[in-house]
Amino acid sequence: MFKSLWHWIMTVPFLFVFIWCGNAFSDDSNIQDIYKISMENRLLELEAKAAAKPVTYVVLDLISKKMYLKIRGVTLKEFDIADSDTIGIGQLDESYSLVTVKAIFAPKRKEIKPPDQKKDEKPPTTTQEVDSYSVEDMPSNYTLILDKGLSISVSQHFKGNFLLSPLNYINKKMGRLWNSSKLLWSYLKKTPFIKILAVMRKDDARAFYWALPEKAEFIIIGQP
Amino acid sequence: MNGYNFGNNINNNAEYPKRGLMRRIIYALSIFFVVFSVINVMAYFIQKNSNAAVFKKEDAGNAKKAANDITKKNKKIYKSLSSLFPKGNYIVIDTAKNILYLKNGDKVLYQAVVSTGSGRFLIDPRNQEKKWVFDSPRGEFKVKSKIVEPVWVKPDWAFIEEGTNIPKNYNDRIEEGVLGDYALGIGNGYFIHGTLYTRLLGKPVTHGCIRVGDNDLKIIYKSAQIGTKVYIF
Repeated sequence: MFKSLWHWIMTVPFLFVFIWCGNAFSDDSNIQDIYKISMENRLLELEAKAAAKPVTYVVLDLISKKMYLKIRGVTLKEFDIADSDTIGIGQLDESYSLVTVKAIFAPKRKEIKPPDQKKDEKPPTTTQEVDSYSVEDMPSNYTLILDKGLSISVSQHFKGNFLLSPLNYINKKMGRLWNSSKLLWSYLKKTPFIKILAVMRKDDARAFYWALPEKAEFIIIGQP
Repeated sequence: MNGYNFGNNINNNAEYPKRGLMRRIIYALSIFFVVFSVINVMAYFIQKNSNAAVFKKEDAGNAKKAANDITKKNKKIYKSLSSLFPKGNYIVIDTAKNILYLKNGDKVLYQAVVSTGSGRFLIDPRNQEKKWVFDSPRGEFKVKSKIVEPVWVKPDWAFIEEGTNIPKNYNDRIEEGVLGDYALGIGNGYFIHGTLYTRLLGKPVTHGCIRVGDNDLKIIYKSAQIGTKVYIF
């Protein structure tokens, strides 16, 4: 009898603990829900603002690892991101404008040289086969410098080749070290710094470079 | 003898440069990994603390707002966003792939291989400041005109590119039968039109216009109306 009473008494504090835990978690989940909805609201507001203009904008979804090229809310093209990494201080809850694109092997346009009339009797037609500037000329490794201290490094995913695949790992680790050092430096200087590393298939990286409009607006889903 | 073996020392010295190099490499690698770890750990904590602080502020701020209000707001924004979507058929042109899509909502009704801008440039030899870049325009456009049996009014660059003199007479600029049976004007002198050079379809070879094969052009021409949206990227 005494034993079972003692058992009951001892259960009460545990019950309180369980109830408290339940409340605590439910409160937290409410906050989480509100946070989620308000983040969605923020993103929708940003997208509505970007879609109001007749130009293409980019939505980079770090959660589902997708990049969307959009105009007026219509998805023109969807790119897969093989891997991504984000490092930085602050929140990605604003829209960012593209300032410049840096690439080691930046593409160069070819010039049309008009024939000299005196030398060539028959002028070539304007519809001849041309050595054009195409998506194959675009780089697959480049950095997009955006405003408000954000930059996005796009690099090529080495896939299928046994010898090349460790390069993905080395590339990521070296990038992390370099960006960690930059983060420390920015922290000391108190300047904003967020760096996103996006690893994409070679064709996608090139096609994205090709399709990027000047001063494109970027909306980022996800946090550092 | 003082207990030291000089003979052994002499032998060891012969291998010393190799060992020294290895040791240095190991030291350098160790230092690199220590620095790597320290920087990474410091960066991790800075990032975590800074972002956590922002998170808490956000949470506190958002907790005050009612979830319903935000959800209602979201629905409103969704509505205004969807009002921007093109109604009816619209055209999407992928200049990277040289493909034209005729779409309605998310559905692709038809697709065709096209030729888009070559991306090359031409400088007027008589006036070095005058330059043309032959890109297809990007962004949102509308079908502004629908033309049957269009004629090409050759612009100045066409003559410069050919190395011929620019004619003073307007009629000398007109060339018939090179733009196919139909043309859709999208503004600023750009057209979606036919071509005689079908073997070049799929390649970026034009001066900015979109060239389409005859059969495809007929379908696109019939499906597009004045005001049909054209998105080029």
